[in-house]
Amino acid sequence: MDLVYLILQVIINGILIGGVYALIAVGLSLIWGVMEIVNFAHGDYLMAAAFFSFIFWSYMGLDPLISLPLVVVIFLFIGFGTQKFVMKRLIDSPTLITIAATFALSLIIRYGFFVVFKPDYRVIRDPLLQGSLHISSISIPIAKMVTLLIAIITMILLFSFLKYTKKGRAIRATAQDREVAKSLGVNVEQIFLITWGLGIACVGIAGAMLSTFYYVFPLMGVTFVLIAFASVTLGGFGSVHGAIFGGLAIGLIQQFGGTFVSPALKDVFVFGVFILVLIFKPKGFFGKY
Amino acid sequence: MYSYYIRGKLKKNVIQVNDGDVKMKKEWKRISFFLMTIMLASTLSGCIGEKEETPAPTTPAPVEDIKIGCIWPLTGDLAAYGAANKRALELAVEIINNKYPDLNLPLAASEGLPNLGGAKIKLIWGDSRGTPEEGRSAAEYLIINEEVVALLGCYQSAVTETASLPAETYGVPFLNPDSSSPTLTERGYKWFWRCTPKAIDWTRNALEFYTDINEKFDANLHTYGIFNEDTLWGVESGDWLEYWADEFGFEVIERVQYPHETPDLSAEVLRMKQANPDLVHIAGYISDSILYVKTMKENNWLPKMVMSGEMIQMSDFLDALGDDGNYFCLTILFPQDLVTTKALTVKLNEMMDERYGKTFDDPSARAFTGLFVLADAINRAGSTDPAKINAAFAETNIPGEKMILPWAAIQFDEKHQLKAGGYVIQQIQDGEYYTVWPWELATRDIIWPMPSWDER
Amino acid sequence: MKNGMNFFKKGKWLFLILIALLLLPNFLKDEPYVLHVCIIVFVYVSLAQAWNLIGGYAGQISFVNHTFFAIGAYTSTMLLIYLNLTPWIGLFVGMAIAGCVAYVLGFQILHLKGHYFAVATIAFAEIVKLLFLNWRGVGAAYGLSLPLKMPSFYYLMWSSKLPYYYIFLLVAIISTILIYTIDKSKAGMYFRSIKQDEDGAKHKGIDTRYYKLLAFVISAWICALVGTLYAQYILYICPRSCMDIMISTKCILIVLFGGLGTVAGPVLGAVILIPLAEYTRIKLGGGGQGWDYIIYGLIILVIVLYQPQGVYSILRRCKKNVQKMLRS
Repeated sequence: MDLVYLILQVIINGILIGGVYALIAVGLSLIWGVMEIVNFAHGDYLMAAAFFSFIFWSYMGLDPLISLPLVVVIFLFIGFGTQKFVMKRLIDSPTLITIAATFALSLIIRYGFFVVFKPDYRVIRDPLLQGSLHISSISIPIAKMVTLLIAIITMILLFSFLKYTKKGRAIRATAQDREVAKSLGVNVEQIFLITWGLGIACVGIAGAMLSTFYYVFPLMGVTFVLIAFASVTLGGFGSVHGAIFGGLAIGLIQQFGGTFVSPALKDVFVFGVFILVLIFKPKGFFGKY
Repeated sequence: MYSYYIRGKLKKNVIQVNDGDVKMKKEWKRISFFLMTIMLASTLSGCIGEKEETPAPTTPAPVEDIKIGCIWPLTGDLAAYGAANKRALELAVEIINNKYPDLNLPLAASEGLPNLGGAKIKLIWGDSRGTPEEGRSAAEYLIINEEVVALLGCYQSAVTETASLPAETYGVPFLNPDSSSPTLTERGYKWFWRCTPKAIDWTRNALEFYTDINEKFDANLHTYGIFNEDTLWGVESGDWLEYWADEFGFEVIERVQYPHETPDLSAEVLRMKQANPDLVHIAGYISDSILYVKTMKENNWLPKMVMSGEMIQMSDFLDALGDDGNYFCLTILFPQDLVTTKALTVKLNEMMDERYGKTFDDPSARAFTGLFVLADAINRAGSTDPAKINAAFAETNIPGEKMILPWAAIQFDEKHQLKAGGYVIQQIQDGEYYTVWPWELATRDIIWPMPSWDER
Repeated sequence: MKNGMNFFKKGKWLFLILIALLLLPNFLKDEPYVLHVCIIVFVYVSLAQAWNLIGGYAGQISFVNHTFFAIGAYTSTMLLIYLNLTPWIGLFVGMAIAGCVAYVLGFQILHLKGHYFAVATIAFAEIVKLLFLNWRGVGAAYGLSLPLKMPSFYYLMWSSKLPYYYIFLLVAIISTILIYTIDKSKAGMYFRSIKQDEDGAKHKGIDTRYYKLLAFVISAWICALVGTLYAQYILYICPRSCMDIMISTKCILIVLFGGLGTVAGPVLGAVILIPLAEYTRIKLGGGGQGWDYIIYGLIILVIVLYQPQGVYSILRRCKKNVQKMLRS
């Protein structure tokens, strides 16, 4: 493989894994932007979604791609539930309180699955999406490619929902200024409910797609959540295209750093660039809506 | 400033309220002071009283349970290993404490430990959570509060390192059946014993295997690549592999150290693919090994052979990968196919399957053996006196046919390290593990080199 | 200083508790495990006080405190291993380095708002951890084992736990008094006003950047101090154990549980949560089930949902009610 192919391969790897990060980050970004809540349990919702896909596969033989709509609907309601039973009480709480609440949720979800499913590593075997496309000496894993595609579709849908529907506009208004939105007759409580539902549904998609090429394990969320934080902050919270930009940027930095410098330090590059960006652009690349 | 204003106002209010009943407040203070003193006195006297009482009941009981502390990661990301060990040890306790005359294991035929009047073994579990501090505090708890006779544990070398500190301080024998870091027995500890080979041993065996392959197939293998995770175990394994590769005349052309449990390994695999060595070794836990295999497949690349540690013998590996797991090699202490000829192991595996629906794997077989070594030493010591147990350890000699592992015998050298005991190499063929090296022990011929992804 | 004396005058209560704490080890001679738990409680009282300063008073949610802790531990250990320097000096070197790092880092990122600051500190902590994991000079993943010297005051090493108990008790008391002094001082006021409304504070003429940096650096000092002593106690440090983000997270939970921005909060939090964690680990964790974490999570959730001011406020309310009852 000569250098051109190598660089191409690295770019492809970076974009593909970046798509995964972006898909994970977009739900986080939505909740973060509208409600100013950093969801520390985000990685655990991701894990739960992957587990749901796995359960559908192992008990009903449904491929993750087929059970995807089911998982999304389930997670929409899980999101509603989270808002209704937990986060509703914390709407005007300080940042720290919400961090602690979501962290507690994260412990409960993570170890709840741990208790029920035991710490075994599971992989969905022979999913519909498997293998790779090989173009000359470049390989493109199909599962990750489809994930990127679904990430883009999700983001387009979400973007148009926020931009062109009445509810979407209300969400954006709430994100901009909660009090003003309230005075304009927006039902803020309902908006929060929708936001949580959508945010968790997005992570449901991410988890379901992840289960096609990643192992399913009760503690898997931890590995993704930090990267998701970085993606969201890099793009600027509350912005949908910011999340995809952040995810892709981080994927590319990680792959370039890991391949050409040192794999052990690949996350150092990610977090290093991330801090530099924050220092010079304290609100990330794309601010709020 | 607004905030100051509020504070001032609040303070005034408080003072106003308090002004009314300064006396009351003083009274309250006195009462609470009095209560506090009483509480303190009672707790103190309680402590003292308890202490005087405790020695009394211990003397008359003739046969006490022998408490053995077990420290393994029961929660955390290595909990799978802890759970497997727990099952194996519970079975071992069952065998020791009850009569199983048909099993050729030490102490199986008798009920309990005969030299201690048939005393039974009781396991007390401590959770290391896979972290060194928790391991140490669990060891302390077991030694002090549970007064265990001896300790067993802890799988990860870093945890064993700290957990054996209190054992050394308080003079409690510590038997380690499953950590491979060489430094553990180099510390010169008096109470620390290890009945498993060191990391150096399997790294050397792996390189010996490749040398043999070169001879047998005239394979002309020369270049070597290492994936190792950035934990104590991973780095140490990588260092030793590099050392032995050098000794045996192989050239390490790429060594990739990667973060443990990273979400993505494509950069690592791409780097290795770029270097394209003949042989690759993965020194990583099972989660990362699964991801490596998947990523190598995505990248449509395989070297002539990929070898990994014993962790890929955990049933999860093949459950997770299915046919893609075929043809990978692993260094292992407990080759199941080898011991199926051994009636003992067949029987034990059946018992295990019947009870828990799982069979022995390498870590659990080692933990299982560890408990027998320990029980045997206590039995020969004839008492729970730690000094006597320690002396009995030095004279341990369990012959090969009396254990589940394929070793010649269990004996300790002057550094408290297992004397003999090497690794064999297995290859996964048709979803089963077959021993392929040393040649004389092989149950199947090796498929060499690994077929590439396209040829499968 | 005057404020410091006030701390003791505040009640005979505190004095009594202090005496009890000083005498306690006499009754625990045969219970080193309880002594160990006490020491861990003191460690977390100090660390939580440090976090309380930057998080509870100045309102900056920092996830980087464990890095300062590790800097303290590594500095003194490296000096001890390579220069055979007493940890008593290493302690101050560690504090100095941690202070410098905190200053430079704080200078760069303290202007970030809310979550951004929190996530930036997480990123920085991860960078340091990864660098240490790959830096052979400081033992990389092997970690550093402290050389076993003769037990002595000079090397800050003892074979018994008793001296450690008193040292950590002393550090816990010092950090609590320090926070108390700050609480009563002008700087404390400034911190609180920054937390409440940073722009407002700026308009009123408070040099917010300076005060935030001050809180950050003092917080780092305390962490580094505890780090050095902790390394001397545990005798083995490695990036995975002492640069674990759980250390900072635990501090935050302790402060939240006890009461944010109060002197008593971190003390209460550590005294309740650490033994509770130990207890659940031993009673429930032994089953290998992870139930202990679930219970931990539930407790935090309940506190956060129903008593966000922490346990301290409950106690205060109880006290008031009792007073009312006594009065009537």
